[in-house]
Amino acid sequence: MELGNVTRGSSEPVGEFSMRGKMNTVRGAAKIVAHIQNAKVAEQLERLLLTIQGMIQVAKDRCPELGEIPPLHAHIDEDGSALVEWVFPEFRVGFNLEPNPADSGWHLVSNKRLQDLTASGQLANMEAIVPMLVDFILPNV
Amino acid sequence: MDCLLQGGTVASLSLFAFPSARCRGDGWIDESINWMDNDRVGDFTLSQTKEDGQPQFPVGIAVVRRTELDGLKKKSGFAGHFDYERARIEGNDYHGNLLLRGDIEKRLKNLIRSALAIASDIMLRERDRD
Repeated sequence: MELGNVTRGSSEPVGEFSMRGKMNTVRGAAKIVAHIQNAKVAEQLERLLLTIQGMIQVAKDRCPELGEIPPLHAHIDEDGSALVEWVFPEFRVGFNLEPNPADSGWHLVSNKRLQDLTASGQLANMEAIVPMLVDFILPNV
Repeated sequence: MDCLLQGGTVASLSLFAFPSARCRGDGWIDESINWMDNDRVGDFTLSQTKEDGQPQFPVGIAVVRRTELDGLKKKSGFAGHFDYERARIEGNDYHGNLLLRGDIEKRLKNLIRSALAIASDIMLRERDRD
C-alpha cells in the first residue's frame, strides 16, 4: 500500500516531525522515513505507519461517523531510534523503534476514567500488536 | 521544541525528557521540578528566567499532583525505576527532581514519561489563557 504523495509544508527541523492532517493520520510518512539514517529504524517506521493507516482506513470505511483521529507525532532520537506518540485526550500510545528491532517496543497509558491503564511490550510482531492497540483506540476516540 | 500539542495535551517527549546524558553518579536521571508548597510557587516558577533573561517557561508549566507521583511509584513494573526528591538550590527552596533509573528499558522509560504527561495539568501564562 502506497503512502501517497507528500507535500513538505512544515518548517520543523529535520530531527522532528508531526504527521498532521484530518484525512490522513500518517501524512508525511514517506518523506519522514527518508530522514532516518538507520535503515532498520526506517523500515520499522514505514511498516508501522502502513499498518496503522490500513487499519484506520478500514475502520473509517466501516464506520463513516468515526470521530476525528489525532495525528501521530514522531521524534528521531540522538541514538538513531524513533519514538512515535499517538496522543488522545484520555490515553496515549507510543512506539519506540530501535536499530535492533528486538529492542523495539510499545506502550499505552490511560487516565483514571479509562481505568488508569499502563501496559507495554515488545514490538517484534508489529502486525499483531498494532491491531490490538487500534481495537482499544477506536471505541475510545 | 513545542511542549504542548494541539488540543492542549502535553508533549511528553520534551517536558519529561530524562535524557540519558544527564545520568548522575548514583544511577538516576533527574528532571528538575519545583514543589508546590504554597500558592506562590506557580508564579515563582513562571518568573524563572534563562541566562539570557528570556523566560524559562515561555508557554506555561505542567502541574502533577503528588498523589499521581506516588501512584506511579507503586505501579507494578515501576518499582525502583521512578522516584522523586527535594533538592533545594540557591535561590529556590522549592527545587526538587523527578528521578528515573538510567538503566531503565526504553519502552518502560517512555511509558513512565507518557504517564507523567497524562497526569499533568497545564498552567498557562496569563497572556495565553484567553
